[in-house]
Amino acid sequence: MRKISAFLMCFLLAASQLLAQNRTISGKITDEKGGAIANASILVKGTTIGTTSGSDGSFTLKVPATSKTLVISSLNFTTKEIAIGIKSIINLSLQPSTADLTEVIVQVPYATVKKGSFTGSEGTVTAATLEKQQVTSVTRALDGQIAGVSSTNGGGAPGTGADIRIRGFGSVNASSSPLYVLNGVPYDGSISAISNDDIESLTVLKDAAATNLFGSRAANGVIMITTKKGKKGRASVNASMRQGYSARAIPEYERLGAKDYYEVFWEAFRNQYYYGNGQTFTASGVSASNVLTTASGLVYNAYNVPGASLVDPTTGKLNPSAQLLWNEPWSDALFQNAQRTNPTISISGADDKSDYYISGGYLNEDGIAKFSGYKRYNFRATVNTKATDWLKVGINFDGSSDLRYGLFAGGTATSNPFYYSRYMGPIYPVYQHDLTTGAIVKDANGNPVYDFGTPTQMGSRPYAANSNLLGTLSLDVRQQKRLNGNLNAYAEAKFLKNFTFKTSLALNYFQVNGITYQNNQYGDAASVKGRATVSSSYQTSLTGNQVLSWAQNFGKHSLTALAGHENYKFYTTQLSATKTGFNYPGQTALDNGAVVESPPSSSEDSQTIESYFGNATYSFDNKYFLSGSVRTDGSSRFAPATRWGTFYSVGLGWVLTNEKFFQNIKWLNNLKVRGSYGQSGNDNIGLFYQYINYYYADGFGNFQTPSRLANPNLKWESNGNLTVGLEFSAFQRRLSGSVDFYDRRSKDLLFLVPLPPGLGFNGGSYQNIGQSKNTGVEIQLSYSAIRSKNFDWKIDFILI
Amino acid sequence: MKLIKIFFSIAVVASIATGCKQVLDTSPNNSISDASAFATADRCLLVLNGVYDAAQSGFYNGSYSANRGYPFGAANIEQGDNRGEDVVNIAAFYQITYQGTYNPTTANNVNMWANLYGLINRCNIAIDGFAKASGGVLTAPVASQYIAECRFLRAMAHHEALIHFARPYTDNAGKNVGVPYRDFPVNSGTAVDQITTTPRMRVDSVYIKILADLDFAEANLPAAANVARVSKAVAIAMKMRVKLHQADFAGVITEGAKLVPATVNPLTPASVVSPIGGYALTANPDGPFANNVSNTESMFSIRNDALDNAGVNAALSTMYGSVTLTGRGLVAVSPVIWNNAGWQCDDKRRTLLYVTGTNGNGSQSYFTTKYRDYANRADYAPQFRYAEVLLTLAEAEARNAVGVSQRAIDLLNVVRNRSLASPLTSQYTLASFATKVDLTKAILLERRIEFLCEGKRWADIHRNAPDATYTTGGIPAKAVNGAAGLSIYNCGAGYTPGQALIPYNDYRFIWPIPTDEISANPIISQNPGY
Repeated sequence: MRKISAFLMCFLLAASQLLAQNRTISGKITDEKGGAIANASILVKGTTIGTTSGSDGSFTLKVPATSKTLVISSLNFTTKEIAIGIKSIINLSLQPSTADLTEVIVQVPYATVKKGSFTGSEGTVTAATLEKQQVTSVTRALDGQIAGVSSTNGGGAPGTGADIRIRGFGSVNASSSPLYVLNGVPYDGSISAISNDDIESLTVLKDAAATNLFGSRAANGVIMITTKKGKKGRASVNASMRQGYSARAIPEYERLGAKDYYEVFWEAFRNQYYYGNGQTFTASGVSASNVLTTASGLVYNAYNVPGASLVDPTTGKLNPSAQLLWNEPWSDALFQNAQRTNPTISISGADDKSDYYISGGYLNEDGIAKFSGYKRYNFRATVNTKATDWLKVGINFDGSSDLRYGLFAGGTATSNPFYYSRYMGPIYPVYQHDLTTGAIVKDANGNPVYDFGTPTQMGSRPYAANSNLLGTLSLDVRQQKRLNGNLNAYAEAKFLKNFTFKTSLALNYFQVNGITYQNNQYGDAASVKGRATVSSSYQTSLTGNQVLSWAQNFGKHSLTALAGHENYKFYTTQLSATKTGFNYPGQTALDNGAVVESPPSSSEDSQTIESYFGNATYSFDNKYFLSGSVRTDGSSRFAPATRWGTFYSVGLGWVLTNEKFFQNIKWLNNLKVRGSYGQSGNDNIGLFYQYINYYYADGFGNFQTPSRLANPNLKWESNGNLTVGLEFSAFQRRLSGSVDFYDRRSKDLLFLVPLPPGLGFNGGSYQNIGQSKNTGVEIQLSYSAIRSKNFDWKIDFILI
Repeated sequence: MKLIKIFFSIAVVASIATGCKQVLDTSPNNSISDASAFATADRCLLVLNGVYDAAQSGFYNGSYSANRGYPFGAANIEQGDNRGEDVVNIAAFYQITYQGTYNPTTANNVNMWANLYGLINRCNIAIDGFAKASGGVLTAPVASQYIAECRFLRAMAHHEALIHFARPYTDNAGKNVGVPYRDFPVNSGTAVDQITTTPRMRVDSVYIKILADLDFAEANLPAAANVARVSKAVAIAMKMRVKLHQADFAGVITEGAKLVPATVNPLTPASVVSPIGGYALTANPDGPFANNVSNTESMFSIRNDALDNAGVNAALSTMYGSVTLTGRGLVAVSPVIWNNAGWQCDDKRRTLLYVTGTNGNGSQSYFTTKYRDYANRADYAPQFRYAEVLLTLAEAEARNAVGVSQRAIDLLNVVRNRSLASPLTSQYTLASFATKVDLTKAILLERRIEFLCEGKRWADIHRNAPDATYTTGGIPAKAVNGAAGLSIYNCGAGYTPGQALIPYNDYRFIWPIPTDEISANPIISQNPGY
């Protein structure tokens, strides 16, 4: 009752205010440099009475006499309230909001830096963008968001990611993938294991000045992933539920129907008899009609007239009185509109000393191919606390368990539903039909019987006899279960004056258990009573680093310096075996198999990278910026004499708009030019001991023989990266953007060089011989077409 | 505050100090590094076995698992026969070799080259390792024996390369271009540079190197017979073969004296026993094949077994075996030799070693049963039999003598009499031959008959081609590819082959060097015409 009366009161008040509006206020809204701000929102506080500023920033607003305060807001500017008093003209200058360029914090290696003083080239995607997307992998979320970043979707199966390339391919044989850095530490676990809802920001570092502190590991750019932290204030609980559907984006090809299929094949048979067998044209037509649905022809007769009279031997046209007995498109049977369900929940909060963030999520994504999909459970817990006034510690633990199923074979395999459904003629049904009535045949339980295209059913189907994917895919298993766990801990101490020492430890464990089971009743493996390949692999990577940093201001001079050490250890191992002879459908464990087809085989590899690095920056009066980095990496992939590589970078920045002579240009809010050059390296050729000659053991203990010719002189690929760019914002920050020119040259690329054949070594030997060059211009423009309190329309233009 | 300063100074120093460089010295887990391959005597033996495996098979078109028996596991036999006229290639399988349509990229010649030199490099890497292990991991005598085995295989591979890729020694006294002789290990990038500065040598220089290897092998190999590994007698037999190619008949006789008694009784062939290794002919001509792993006659064969053999696309039993016997029936006996009047119709070999059966085209042909393990394809690939020692010595005696050599006739009879229905009446005598040329031709024919389907035909064609008296004139005329049906087989009736002779001076008489070799290693020159 009370609520209703309060509502009525409000209504009455509003009505009376409408009657009482008797004042007009006018004025102009400008930015901090006096430039007009268009479309700024001017509202009477506590009411819906308001207007927006014109293109020259001016406004006129009639306000009720009782009005006391105006609220003026505009995108990218701090909202301001101003008392009306007795004023009739109100001119107001808005200050740039915290989202302003000078205040944005950029995640850089081992530190953060204000965007305004950053001399490198980067692009950032924040949680606000990620929330809008129905994608599972971070790599897909980056698609089309940042200039210079290209993402390529491979198969598109549920739970798979996209290949990300930053500024093109920097290597041919070594990896061209960027380095992923999760909460400040290089990460090589599963990318799709990270829930997008846990991500605060994704920063793509593109040039040498930005990436160099990661040295050789950052030759292809860096993607810094920062997860969410608790924010000060009351504990907040966020729950979300996303529900989506996916279907083919591009419609399936148009295909022949049963009528056309018979007529076209009749013509093919006639041509074969005429040209191939030398029959007369007339006789060829008769032979074609006679053979059409026989065992030498298409076998199946989908119509209710005898096969020989199905197609007219003279005209080649289908018998007009023929009635189709069945029409069952395989694509309808094998594909579906896929559903995606993604509930998440997080609880976070912080006080003066500590913050925490705990989240959990579930994802269930079906594939558009039946029997395929992706399921994931994930959780994350992050706690940071100031143990004392000088020591801060934090820990992040996250894990995910996922299941990818329906990992079908590709290409022309009959277990590939895409190929199967296209290659199968329209006259071959999914279910067994009575050849006379066309009725679906049912088994003893009344369930429809699948047609496997066997002689005991409807006939020996010419394509993929003894198969029915709808029947076999439900009996087969093609899945991977994966477990991904991360532990990330750090301690940060401030001591003396301006010194910080931070040590971090990150451990990633990634396990994949795979099962490929071809069922024992139908299809390829029926003759061997089923075949199962079981594989298990896991990898661990351990990164530890210690970073000492120092910062000091002397008047207008700012100096920072950083020195550190990092050690990275990677270990991977896999085991697999194959057996046949499975007597118990669905029991895919190898113990249920009878015959060893591939004996167990296993392998393991390890790698270590040891690094030392340093970085210094200098800035003067927020106008001039200089940074330099050096890092030396030692890789176990190379021989002792060549394994150490030293990489460096320098960067320069100049904020022109902070110069006096730019102060008068009102329409320009920010203009910065910057440039960088640096060299980094790449060792990621997949093989771990290319510098050591290998002997191959035959697996039976009979002999060992040299199997690989090593190249002890192998060294790092070297990547030089020059970037010149400018960043700007203008017209009250309505238009902002950046233009970057880059020239990326790689040399000493690792290539497999063919050896003279008479050496007894297969293939070739890796050598540092290739060169590559990527140049480009990246333009990123953003224009706020409409910005009001409740509605933003922002147009982004990205040219890669 | 001071305490904290000290603490962190220590922490920083300690953490940087822990990053010592040894952490980067990880070692491979999946394979054996070359540093450890020779670390124990057992591993050295495994390396030696690996060299024999390389003799059995290397890579086929870049695939290790696609074992096609190159060079000596099967391929040298199949190619050696198909280059000659005494077999018929039934289907397309050996057509390029059979018809002489090879080019620098065809698989037969490419894989023969690659795997001969692949074997040579395995030998050289092993020799290097054994030499370093000598006196330490291996006793000096064992190391010397292992090195001798490798040097023998190296010599054998170079000789095989010569007969396929170079003109014979007897042409221009060995002064033609031969093949590169590699006697250094290529086990590093810098050694690759060494082969790119090693050109093809003259034929006579290669023979000098081969004989030096064989002399070392003879001196350091054990006398005891071991069919799957080379022994002293095998080294001597190889020297006889090599010297025969050089037409150094006196040299063959010198070597032959070590393996053949001075007096032989042709009517009791098995009584002729080698003083070294105790080799002797088996009682019947199928003895070396009925049990080809263990018999008195087989001196050296390349081991195949059920797990490691040339497979369905190359194994001897599969290629030479009739479809009837579950082979593939691709290489049949040619009527050229079957109908030759010099091969008696009641010769035991015709019935003990040859059968009719379905060929790969579905019609009937004569096939050999020298390779019988159709199920497991584990027949050893015969390289040296005592019969070769006897016939090689017989030829040298015959050609070295002024007139008709009785010892040559005796040695020929030892081999031939074993297979004759009635040796006492039909064996050769002095009266059988008007001249030593007749005798020599009889010996050469006997080699074709005795070693039919053992791949030795091409070597004989090659070495005699420049010899005006004994030449075949080039690659002989052959039965047309796929010729079949039992009607073409008529004992003693002769046969007129339909595929024309390729003259000796034609470029196709020798194989081309693979394009891969020349492009990766331009110092190797191509044979003229290719």
